[in-house]
Amino acid sequence: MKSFARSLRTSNKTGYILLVILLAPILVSQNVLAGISLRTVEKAAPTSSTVSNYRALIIGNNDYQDPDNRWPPLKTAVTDARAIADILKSYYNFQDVTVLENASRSEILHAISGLTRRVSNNDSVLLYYAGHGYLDMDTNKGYWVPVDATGNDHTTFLRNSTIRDELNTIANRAKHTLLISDSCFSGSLLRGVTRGPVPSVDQDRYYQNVAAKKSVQIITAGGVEFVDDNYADSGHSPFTYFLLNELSNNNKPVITASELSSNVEQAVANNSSQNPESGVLQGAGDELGEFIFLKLDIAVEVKGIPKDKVKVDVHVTPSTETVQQEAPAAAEEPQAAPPKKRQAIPLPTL
Amino acid sequence: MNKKNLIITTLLTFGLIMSVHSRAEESPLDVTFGVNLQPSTWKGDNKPSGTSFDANATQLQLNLRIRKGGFYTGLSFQGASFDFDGAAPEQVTKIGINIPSSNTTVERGEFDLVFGYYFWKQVSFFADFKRITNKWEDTGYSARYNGLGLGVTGWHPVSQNWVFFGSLGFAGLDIETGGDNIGDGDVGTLVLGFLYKATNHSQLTIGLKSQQQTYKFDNGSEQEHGIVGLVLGYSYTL
Repeated sequence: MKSFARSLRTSNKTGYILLVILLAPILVSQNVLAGISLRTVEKAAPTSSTVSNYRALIIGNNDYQDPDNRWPPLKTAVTDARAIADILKSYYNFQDVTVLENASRSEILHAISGLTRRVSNNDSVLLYYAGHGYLDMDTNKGYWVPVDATGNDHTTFLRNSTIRDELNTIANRAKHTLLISDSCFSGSLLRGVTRGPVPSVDQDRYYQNVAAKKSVQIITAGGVEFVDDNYADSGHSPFTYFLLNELSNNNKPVITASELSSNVEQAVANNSSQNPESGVLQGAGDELGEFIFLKLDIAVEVKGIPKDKVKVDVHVTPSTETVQQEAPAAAEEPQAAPPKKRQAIPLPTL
Repeated sequence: MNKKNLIITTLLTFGLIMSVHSRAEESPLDVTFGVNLQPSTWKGDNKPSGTSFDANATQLQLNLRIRKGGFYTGLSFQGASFDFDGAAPEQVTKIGINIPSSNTTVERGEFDLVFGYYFWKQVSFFADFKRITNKWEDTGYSARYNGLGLGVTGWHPVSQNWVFFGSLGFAGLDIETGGDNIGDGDVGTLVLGFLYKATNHSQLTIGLKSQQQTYKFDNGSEQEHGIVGLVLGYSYTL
């Protein structure tokens, strides 16, 4: 049995004791909750600099209106965005989720600006974009393409440098920031700044350490390449399909962005011709921390505690307190096998 | 190519493969059947006699590939009858006599057993246990060329449905006839092509394949062979 640090803060002693009794065996059985603190809250929890919130801005662009037909409509971006928003709210306790469907350039910028204003110190902020992307081969500059983009007029696009600036502003305020971009050439956002391999997560202090440090991470659906729109008629792009697959079938209460991206990269590469990439936003203060996804259903629903009575904070306490009681492991849900669609490079022979 | 070095290199490669954490543990198995047509030209020289030979044929190739994670293995059979109008490759008997051959048909067959691993997402190294069989119709003489080779293959997407791919490799060969070794040789192969993802399960390929072989017989004679052709393929992944 691995040991995990935690501290429980409650509004009163009774609640504290009750919560410890109810949750401690479950949390220990999940094996990975180091550095995560739980506390009871009132339904309308006050927001302050000491409280962390999970916030997300989800953008999906299908209905392109380009009169030049340079940007044809997409099939799955809106569905992808809705599914991501749903899973974040339902499984991962994102409280502040804004979904933008078929967004124009100004709508995207206004939404990011609004999100930035809401962010406080310990927040975890996720931006997701699904839509057309563009790489100017002459200047090597990448763009998101909003639905009101016109032909090759770059001024109607959303430049990578602008996206990075906005992300930088959010990152200055948030504890953890994660950008997920499912568009062609989205790898150009990374500027070659990538992380090493995901470290072993078997060590007790891993989550504690990475949650304590600031993170500004980026996951992209591909490198500098085209990416597919509809994976095996699933209604999702390959990247988002496997992203959803990982998030929904994740059986751990805690999964980091690097773990998530590693699994998704592998699955996408195994099943399509695109190669997702991940890394950090250069110059935004990333301290090799990790955006942490907390799957609350595992920890909370087992004991029947209402979600609105439990708040999970990802800022880490230095405590190494260990709960010694063991509890039976929660039953694992079977992993859904992804539909088969393979790219078969010809068998090489001499 | 030094065959001892080749075998050692192969063993080291597989040792390295086995030491790498396998992606296969979490990856689904995929099975692909493929068929290729290869309109090919077989040209070459009989070194001592100075004769050159030249024939065309369309080779049929059937292959099976099984992939799990980064690992893959596969079998390939291909062959055709090449009709030589004029000089043909000389037949070197096991007692060391070169029998000139002309206006004949050579039935050529190739068998490959391939093992490979993707060390990177788009690049893999593979080992190929290869056997080539040539049978001359005029005399019934046949020779086998057995060997082990190593190669590298890679791919890169160029659009949503098109993928560029290529492979390069070399193998050392033992030449046998009637159960006796009569020489050795080597083969180098280059393949470049494009794959088109027609459906979720079907792929079409078009490419060029160049196979260059050099045979050195124990009787001192040599032959050079070059088989170059277009590769038109279809494959289906279960």
